[in-house]
Amino acid sequence: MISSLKLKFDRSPQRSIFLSADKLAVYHWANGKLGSSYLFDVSADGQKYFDRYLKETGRMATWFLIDLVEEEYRQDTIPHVFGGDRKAVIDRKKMRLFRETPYFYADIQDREVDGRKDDRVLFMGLTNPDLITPWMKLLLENRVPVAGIYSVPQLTKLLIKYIPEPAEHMLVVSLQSISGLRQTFFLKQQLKISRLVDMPRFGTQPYAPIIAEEVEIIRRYLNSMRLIDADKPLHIYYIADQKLLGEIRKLTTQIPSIENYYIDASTFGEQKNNIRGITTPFSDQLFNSHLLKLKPGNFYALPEETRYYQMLKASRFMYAASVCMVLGGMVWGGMNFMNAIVNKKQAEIASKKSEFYSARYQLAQEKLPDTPVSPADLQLVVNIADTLNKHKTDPLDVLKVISRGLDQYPQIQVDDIELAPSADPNRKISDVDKGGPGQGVVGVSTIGAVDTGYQYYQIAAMKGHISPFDGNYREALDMINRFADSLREIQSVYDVSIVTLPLDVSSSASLQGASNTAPGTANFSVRLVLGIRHES
Amino acid sequence: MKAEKIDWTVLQGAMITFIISIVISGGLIGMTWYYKDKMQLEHNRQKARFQNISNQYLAVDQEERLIREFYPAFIELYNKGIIGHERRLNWIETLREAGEFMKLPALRYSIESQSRFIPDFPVNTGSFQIYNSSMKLNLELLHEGDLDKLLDTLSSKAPGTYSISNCKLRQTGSGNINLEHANRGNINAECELRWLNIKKADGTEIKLTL
Repeated sequence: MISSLKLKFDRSPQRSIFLSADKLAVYHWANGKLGSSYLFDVSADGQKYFDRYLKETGRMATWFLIDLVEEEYRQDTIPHVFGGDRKAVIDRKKMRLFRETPYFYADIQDREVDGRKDDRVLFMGLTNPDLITPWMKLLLENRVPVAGIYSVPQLTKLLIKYIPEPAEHMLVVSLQSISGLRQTFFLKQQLKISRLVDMPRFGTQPYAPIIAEEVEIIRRYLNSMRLIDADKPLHIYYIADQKLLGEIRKLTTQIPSIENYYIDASTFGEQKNNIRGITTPFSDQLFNSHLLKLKPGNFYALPEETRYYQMLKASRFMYAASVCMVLGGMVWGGMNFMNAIVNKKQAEIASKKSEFYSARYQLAQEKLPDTPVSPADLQLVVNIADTLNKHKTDPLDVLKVISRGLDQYPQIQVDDIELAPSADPNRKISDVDKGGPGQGVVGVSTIGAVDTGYQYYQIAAMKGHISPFDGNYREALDMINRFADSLREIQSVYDVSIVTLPLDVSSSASLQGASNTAPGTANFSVRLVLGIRHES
Repeated sequence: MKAEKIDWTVLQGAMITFIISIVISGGLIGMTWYYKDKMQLEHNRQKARFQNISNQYLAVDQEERLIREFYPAFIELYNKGIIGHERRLNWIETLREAGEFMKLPALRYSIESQSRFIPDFPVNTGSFQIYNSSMKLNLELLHEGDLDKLLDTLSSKAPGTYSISNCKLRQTGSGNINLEHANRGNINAECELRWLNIKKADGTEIKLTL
């Protein structure tokens, strides 16, 4: 059976399984449309055939729709809490309301306006799990990825937004070939109650009277339960074919509290779910098509029942990620490769240009003489030598200056001269600079470290005496001072200081002598700094 | 979903595909990255080479000008012993000849080994170093003019350049120093001359093949 439909995990082929108390129908879905369908009895033989069908069709993503009398609804309230607390509250409610079944769903609908403003919750449960578990067991054994378990009332809630002129009180009436008459009531678009009525075999009895009678029953029930406001009408939506709708229209009573809408399943299915050729009053195809089109999140299925679907999603994710990675790798790699090619081309161009200039450089080099150092270093060496030459020192310059000073004072005799060049005018070159003990220090210069513009200095430390000396220290001191002044007047003399005098007459010095003794010597010392500036 | 609930056989194909795609994409990216890096390095290398050679080529004119302008002076410096090896023998010969010619009562000299010289004035030495040889002169002078003459002779005849680091003149006779008319053996002069030489930074001589 259906051996040609051997399929693996494939994105496009999917199916829905529609289970009632008596039958199980399978609808295939491909390219956004319902395809072939298969029907199995709810019996041991049916399960055997279903198992064979599953084996032949493979692991196709599956949505499981049920329409059973054993679905119960309980309105309740829970504290308005979130997260783990809400889950704990709902679990407690579930244990209290639906202890016997694992198939349970809590639909948090709205909040109370008074008091604690608790959440209003519709608790739903499938009270006879034995109707589902044999089929789920087969699905799991065949590793079929089940996306979830849904019921017709839950699906009707998802369908009502497509129904024309939705109202506050809505009663949706539909016929399913394998389950019967389903009446679902919505208050402000929220599911409140649903009722399934077994119907006689199609064609054996007229359906319209039964439907009219059952609708009246549920209307009375809704009124008795005060689910409908007295001042607001109940909108009843009949979904069937034109023939049955015509029969129902004849039987329905026209009263202000009821507004009837007759929805042609064929037209509606064609408009909303792209289903063609619904020729029966039944909405099986409509619901299954809607389920496969919407693919809503799971309602009833247990985590272990959807694990293959989770694996299917993981598998699809990995396939998609694989494709993305390979594509990404190709794009990235392609960009790298393009960059590499561009760099390679540019390297080749640079290489050719280098060779071109290298050849010309070699030719130009051959014309130049061979030098021991680079041309730039030739200049540097010549500049170094030039700088050294500019700073070449000649002590005779300072000797000539002293000689000019002595010309005016023949009594001054030079004993000793020490000469040294320096970039520092304060450099000490002899003991003259230190000053002798017991002798006064007069006119020591206060040369600062200022930029004088001289390239270097010639420093002379001169020791001399006055000869002949008649003992007149006043005259000797005066002569030495005038000698120093005459030196200072000479151009280029930067500094002249008298370091020691023949007699220290300062208050800080000790002084002794005798008036009747022969005159002593009149020794002194002078320090002279001459600034040297070479004109470039 | 707990690991024990996972049917690995279902995921096997996807996982193998995933791993293969990682290997393929990683390989693609890795190989092309390596190739791109290699080409980038090659490009940078060739670009640097081109910039270097083009700069050298553009500098040829400048080099030619520098050689034309400074090479003659460089050769002259070499001939004077300011670069290359010192001309100590010439110095000594010049000193002796000058002493004999000037009839100096005494002329003693000593030359110390060459050492590195750091001048007290600013000079850009670049990749070169300045060395000096200290020459100490002890002279008996008739008058200070002899010192002037001797130094002039050294400057004009001895190859090289020198700088006087210090000089000390002292009266040695009983009479006073007369700077204009000194008598025989009146002055003792001690001078230190610094003969300068330019070498490469590592101390090796600059060799010139003429």
